[in-house]
Order: sequence, then C-alpha cells, then structure tokens
Amino acid sequence: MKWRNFLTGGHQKGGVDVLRAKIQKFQTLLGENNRVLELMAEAEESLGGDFLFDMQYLRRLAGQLEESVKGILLDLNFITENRHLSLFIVFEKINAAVNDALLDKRNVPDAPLTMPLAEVDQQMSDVVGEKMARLGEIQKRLPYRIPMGFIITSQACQRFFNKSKAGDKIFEMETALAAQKISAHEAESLLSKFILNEPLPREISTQMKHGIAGLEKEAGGKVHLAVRSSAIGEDGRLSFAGLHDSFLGVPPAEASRAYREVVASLFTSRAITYRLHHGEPLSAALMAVGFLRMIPATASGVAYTLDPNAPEQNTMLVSAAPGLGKTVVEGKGNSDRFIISRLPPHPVLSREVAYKEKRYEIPPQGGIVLTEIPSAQAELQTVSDDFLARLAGAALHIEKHMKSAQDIEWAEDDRGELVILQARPLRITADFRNITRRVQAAVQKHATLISGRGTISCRGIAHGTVVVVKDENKLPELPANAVLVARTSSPKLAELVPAANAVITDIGAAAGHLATITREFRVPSIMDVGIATQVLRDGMEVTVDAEENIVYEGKVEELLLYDILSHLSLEDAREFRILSRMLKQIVPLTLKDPQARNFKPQNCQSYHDIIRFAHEKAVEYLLEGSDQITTQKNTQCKKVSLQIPIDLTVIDIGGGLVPSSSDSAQCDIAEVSCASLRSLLEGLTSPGAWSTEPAGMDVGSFMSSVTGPGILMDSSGQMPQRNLAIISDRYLNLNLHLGYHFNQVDSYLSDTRNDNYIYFRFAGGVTDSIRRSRRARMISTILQKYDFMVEIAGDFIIARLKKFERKALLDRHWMLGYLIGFTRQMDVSMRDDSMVEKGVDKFMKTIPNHKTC
Amino acid sequence: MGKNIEVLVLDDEAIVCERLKEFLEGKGLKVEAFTESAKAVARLREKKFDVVVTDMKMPGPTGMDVLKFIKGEQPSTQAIVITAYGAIENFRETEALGAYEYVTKPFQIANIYNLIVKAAKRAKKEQT
Repeated sequence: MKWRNFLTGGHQKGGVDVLRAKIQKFQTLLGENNRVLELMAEAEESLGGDFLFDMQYLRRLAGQLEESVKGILLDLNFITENRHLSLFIVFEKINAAVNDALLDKRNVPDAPLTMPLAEVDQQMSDVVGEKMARLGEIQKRLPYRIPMGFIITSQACQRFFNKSKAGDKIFEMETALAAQKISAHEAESLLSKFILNEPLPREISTQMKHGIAGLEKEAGGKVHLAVRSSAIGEDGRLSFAGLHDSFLGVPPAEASRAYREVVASLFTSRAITYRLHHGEPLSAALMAVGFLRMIPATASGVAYTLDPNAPEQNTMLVSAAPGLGKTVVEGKGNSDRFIISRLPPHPVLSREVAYKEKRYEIPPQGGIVLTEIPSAQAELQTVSDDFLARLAGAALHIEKHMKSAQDIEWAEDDRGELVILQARPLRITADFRNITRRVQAAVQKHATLISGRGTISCRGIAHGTVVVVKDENKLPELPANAVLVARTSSPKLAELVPAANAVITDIGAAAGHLATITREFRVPSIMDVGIATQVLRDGMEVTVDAEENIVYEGKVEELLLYDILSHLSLEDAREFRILSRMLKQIVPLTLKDPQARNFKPQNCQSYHDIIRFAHEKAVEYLLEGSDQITTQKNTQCKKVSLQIPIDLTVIDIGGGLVPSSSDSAQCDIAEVSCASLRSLLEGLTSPGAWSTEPAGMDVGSFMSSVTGPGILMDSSGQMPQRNLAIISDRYLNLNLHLGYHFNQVDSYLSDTRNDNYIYFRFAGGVTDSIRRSRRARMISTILQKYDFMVEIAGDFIIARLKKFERKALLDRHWMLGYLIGFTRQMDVSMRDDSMVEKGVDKFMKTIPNHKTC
Repeated sequence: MGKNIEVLVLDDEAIVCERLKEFLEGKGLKVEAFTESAKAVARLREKKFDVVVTDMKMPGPTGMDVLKFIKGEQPSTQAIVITAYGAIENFRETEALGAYEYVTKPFQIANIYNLIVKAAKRAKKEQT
C-alpha cells in the first residue's frame, strides 16, 4: 500500500500533507462531478423545447464538459497515484465523438450494409436517410401499410466510395469547385460517369441480391422495384426536395445500375450547387437507397394535409389519378383535385374531376409506360369518397405523429387498400398575425383549467379526453385521443405514451425518464403541474397547449390548426439535432454497479460513465488511505460509534469534529460538529429508521441478515464494508455502502441560502433489477415530496436540492438519514408494484411529524 | 397584453431570431428580427422600439455597442442582453450602461416574454 510508505517511519508528517492534498483534490473532483451533472441536467432540460439556445451555447457546453471531465481524471489520478491513466484514452474517444456531433459531422454509423424497411424508424436517419426513416416510422408506429422493401445503407455507400476511389474523386472535384476551376455541370458529368462505371463491391451486390430474393419469396414470384433516393441529411434545414433521382418499375436485373444512378444523383449540378450554397461539403454527401416492391396501383396521388392556397381554412388538398403516382407527382397528366375537410368524417367540400387521358403502368418486362385510358373511364372520379375519407384520416394521423403539415404520396392497390409511399414535411407560408388573432379570440371562449404551472417537457398542442391513472400498477387501456393525467411521472407510464395525445403529471421533471419518452414519441407533455389530478377528471374534453403551458376546457380547433401551421418545430432545428447527438455521448449511464464485472475503464461509454467510475475509485482509494491513518491514531480521522452496525470513518478537513484532547480513534455523534452529518446520523439512528424486523424474504430473494453485522458484508460475505465521510464545519461528503447498495450525500450548509445544496445519489441492491427499480421509484417519490429534483436511470437515482435555508436543509439531512435506514433493504420486499406506494405511505406515516416538510 | 409593444430582436444565430420572433408574434407583439448587427443599428436609427433584445457577442457592432447606441440616442428604449457568456464583468458593464436585464443561454422562452412585457411597461412610462 503506497499510503503506508508515507504514514510510517519518519514520513508521517509528509503523509498527512499528502493526505490533505488528496482530500483537496477529492473535493475538486466532487465539485467538477457536480458541475458535470448540472450541465447534463441543464442540457437535457433544454431539449424539452421550453428553452432556446444556439450554437454558441453548444460550443460552451462541450468546452465546459471537456474541461470538467478532464479535471476529474487528473484529480482521480493524483488521488490514486496514476492507477487509472487508461481512462484518458476512453475520454479522448468520447470527447472526439462529442466534438464531431458539435461540428455536425456525420460519422457513418457502424451499421449493416442493408436493412429491412420493417426494422427502420425515424431515429435511424443517419443510416437509412430521412425519406426511408420516415416511411419506416409510419409502419412501426402507425397502423398504415407501406411497401415491402429494404435499404442499402449509408454504410454501404461509404464503402462503395472508399473501394471505388470515388471518395478521392469527389474530394478532388470539391477542391476544384472551391478554386472555381470547374463548373457544377462539369463536376456532375465527371462524377456521374465515374460512379456509373464503377462495379459495386461484391458484398454490396450480394446483399442486394439477397434482399431482392427475399422480396420475391414474399411475393411468390418476380417483382418490380421502386428504387428511391434517401439522402443522408435531408432534414428541417435542408430539404433537397426533388434534387435526387428515383426510378420506378426497375426489374431486378437492373437493380445494380439503378443503385449507382441514384447514388450518382447526389452530384447532379443542381444538387452540387444546393450543397455548396448551404455550406455542406460534397465529401460528406452520402446516399441510402430504398428498394421497394412496386405496388400494383389502380390509383395514386398526393395529399397535402393543409391546402397551401388557404392554410387557415382547416381543409386538405388531395390530387388523384389512375395508375402510378408519377402522373400526379410530375404533373404529366390531368388529375382529380379534392378539397376535403380536416374534421371527421372528412367530407369532400369541393371537387374537380378531370378528363384523364393517360396513365403510367408497369409492363411485364419492367420499366414504366404511358398508356391510353379508355374514354368511358377517363371522366370517372379516380377514387371513391369513402377512400378519400380513409386517406384523409390516415394523412392527419401521420401529420399528428410527425408534428407538422405533411406532403404524402399514396396509392390505392388492386384490393382497394391504402398504401403510403412517402411522407415529408409540407412547407407552408401562412399569415400568422391573422391566425394569432383568431386563436386569441377562440381561447377566450374556453375556460382555462390550468395555466403556467409545471414545466413543459415536450412542446406541442393536443386535444383529447382525460384519462386519469389512479393506480400505476393497473394501467388503463387508453382509448383513442386520450390525454393521460397522472400523479407521478413514473416510468411505468412510459408504455402508455405512444398511444396518448398528451401527458400531464402532478410531479416530475423535464429531464426525467417519462419526459424523455414523451419527446421520443413527440407527445406534448407538461410535468410537475401539481394540481392536474385534482382539476382534470376522467372523461373531460380538453386542449393541452404545451407551448404556452395552458390546459383549456373543450376543443380549441384554432389552436390545433395553429400548431400545425407553426411548422418551425424546434426539434427540427439543426441546433436541437446537434445537442441530441452530443447528449448520446454524454448522458447514458451504463456503469451502474461498482460490484459488477463490467465496472472497468474500458467499458465507459459516456462522460457520465467516466465520472461515475472516477468517483467510485477515488472514494475506494481514500478509504484505503484512511485505514492507515486510523491505525496511526491520527486525530484527523476517527471512527464514529453508532448504535447501529455501521462502520463509518470521518476525515475532518476543518471544524467538522469537536476539538478533543483524547487521542482516541473513536468518537460519538455528539463530537461531530458538522451539523449536516450530525443531523443525518440522528435521522439514521432514530427509532423506526433502522428496522430490526427481519425483512420478509421470499423465494428468489438473496438471503441477507438484517440486524447483525451481516448487513455490512460485501458480496463475498466476509468483510464488513468501510464507509467514509469527509467533513468540515459546513461541508459533508458521505459515501455509505449498506449491504449491497450505495448512498452518497454531498452537501454544503451555511447561513447563505444561495450557497446551500444537497446532492444525493443512490444505487445498487441485492435483488433483481425490477425490484431495485421499484425501490428507486419509491425513493424518488419520497424525495420529490421533500422538494428534491430527481432523475432515475434504472435503479440509479440522482437527487438535487439547492438554495434552501439552513433549518430546512438540516431537516432534509435528518430525513435522508431516516430514508437511508428505512430503505436499506426494501428491494427485498418490493415483490410487486403496489409495494412502491405502500412503501411511500409507510415512510410518510412513520417519519416523525416535525420532519415532514 | 402584448398590444402595441414593439420589439427589435438581434442575434447573429438565426435560430434565436426565428424562434423568438415566432413566439413573440404569437403573443401579439410587433417584432423585427435581425441577424446582422449593422443592419439592426441602421434600423434603430430610423425607428424607436420599446424593447431591444440583443445578443452580446456578434461580428460587427457588439451587443455592448448596440446598448451604448440605444442609451445615447433613445434612452427610454429598454435593452435585454442575451449571451452564452455569463461573465460577471459583462454583467457589470451592461448594468452600468443601463440594460434592463441580462440573461444567459439557454433561456426559457416564456421568461423572456415576461421580461419584455415588464421592460415595455417601463419604456412606455419613461416615454411619457
């Protein structure tokens, strides 16, 4: 033990100095640790949509995180004498990924070369392109049919470019264009020729054939393909609409050629000019390509969910023509036009039925041909009003899910079924001042049920019928258009989110798990409202305005329309996308259990993992060191004698212990002058907190003694666990292992309210993860009753409380002590979900009244 | 509430301008937004606003320059300064120059609206 070197012989004084330096470093580490946690919480909250930020903020965030995490690693290696230098390598890797996200660099994700369309959703746009990601999303999350198919991914495109040296060629053209040595037309011609003449790498063509064979097997015969472009990076900022090529009716034998043609269309002169204009480097251009089975369409067309000519009218516009959609999309022939009401049952308000002379069809040999329509059919309405109503319902459902007006390509197949071929945001310019006036007049007619309470966790406006969750263990079946109302933002509710129109909770944070889920599914939500379950009753019809944080009685039609029109959804903005990508490298916590085998530096996947690992190891090392000091009877370190079986060593860094002439290595609670630790220990040792009743064990629970020193055994069942508190007159850092779970309290207590804080972290347990997460939910609910901001990841809890008066903060330390004792074995008793609420009730009933804040 | 409140928003990052303009107009305020500070200053020479919301660090005239201009030419106009840099020196300097309020990014959109309404009340009072 290196500590021994300076604590024995003639080095004791030097040893104490080194210890002081290490404790100082530990304090710096804790400060940085808390700073990182705060920055993460702030950034997550910013994604909720209630906040506004820009690139300047993101650059600052990345810089501060880098500085703090690096500082933590330096401190850790000082404390542990360079035992964890390998963490720097992990850090550099994560830091590089954060900076790539910040620069909006799209690293080609490590993905397969092809993916079935059925497995794709909107999160995968870096792999399959925006167009295919949206189509996959519709199939995955909504009850509508899309064509069968697969995608050749961005990974495959990158490999094609690398192997064929097209990548070098593209870079060469980019340089020449920048130097104005060639025109966009010349670049197009050179790059297209190059790409079209290169053979596909074998692995890509093999996978392509495999994919097509799969489609043929499904179809029971030969198929024709729609080969569609799905460029990476077509998003809210860059639409690339119509800049890339797609081909219809492609026979399998020509699939390889069609693939290269679609890829080459990344570099049409128009696309090149567009990219350069928007500062998107050519060398970053990648194309995913969809291979979809052609639908035997009897009719096709386009549906705009809002009529671009009259967006305030609450109507939609549908064009339809016989045969393939190319007629309508390219305006190659006459088509029928319908103005349809957006309100159910979606009647046709006006119609123009055209005389349609020609339609596109697929001949048996493939390709597409224009054929004559017999005159008797040419003047008939292409699709029935019934079909139009179905189409309107589906289109509005897609609009609601995608949160903006949509431009949808559709087809009716030979069985009369609706198939969605494509959906993309519809850009509409509306007279906002006029609409705003109408909205203001409309909301006057509706009673305001709740206003300005809580925090918006996902912006948007929704309407529906209130469903109050009374018991989160008996989740109700959600009817269509439900506004979910609940007391807590329990993660249990997550499974209801996709089916809900909106979510409102009394308690909860915008950075919590449920809030994250509402953002993922883009369900408008307001958390921490306080009175939602009192004001909103089952069956009430309400409009939730999660833009202005208001709930209205009834349906405010104008507000819903306004929401669709104000298409500049924050989530679509580049800055939001970048932050979301940055946070994927920063926030997820995988290293939760220090006893687990994977608790190693090389398994850190995020900044959060790194700081968690660093903290744990720093505490571990300081405990080793304090052991040596205690045996040396150094007055700075003492063991606190408690009435309960806990082995607690305190290191006093200034005024934390009453000065004593005794050189005893022991002290009792009365000698602790650090008020926060004393208060916490009083709570922990108070009657009722440290239960001596055996916990009810059942089959499958890990057997563990309650009252004896067994509680202090580690996983080998041999050694009692050592616990450490670093204290001063105002500061407390307590690291407490009880059996198999871990509590950390870091707090500062003074007469200056603004400086005061408590951080409480809790993790681990004996039983399976479900029981542990139930306990975590119980603890979280209790902490929220005491004003803590709480985040839960699995069974890991981070709770924060800031800027409270001295007395209130001391009461909360007492409560935390009581809670730590109360819950130390509760995971064993968490047999089912009902135990969560029972546990909360029991806690609130047994804790002495004067501590019930 | 927001009737007749005229606001100029200046930030070199489009997202702040676009989103603030959209939100404030939704509340009935009259908003002009600029991403180039020189153009904003030119507009300020032509027209008097109740409230100016300005970023601090921008190419060309900075937020501080805009603030000095306003306080020199149109003292009743209230300025709200937004910035990612929460340095105390900036705060003191803007305070000394008579900024109504100083906010750091990220900020809650609803909060800045409330600030603007309060600032506009003071502007109207000082105009009379």
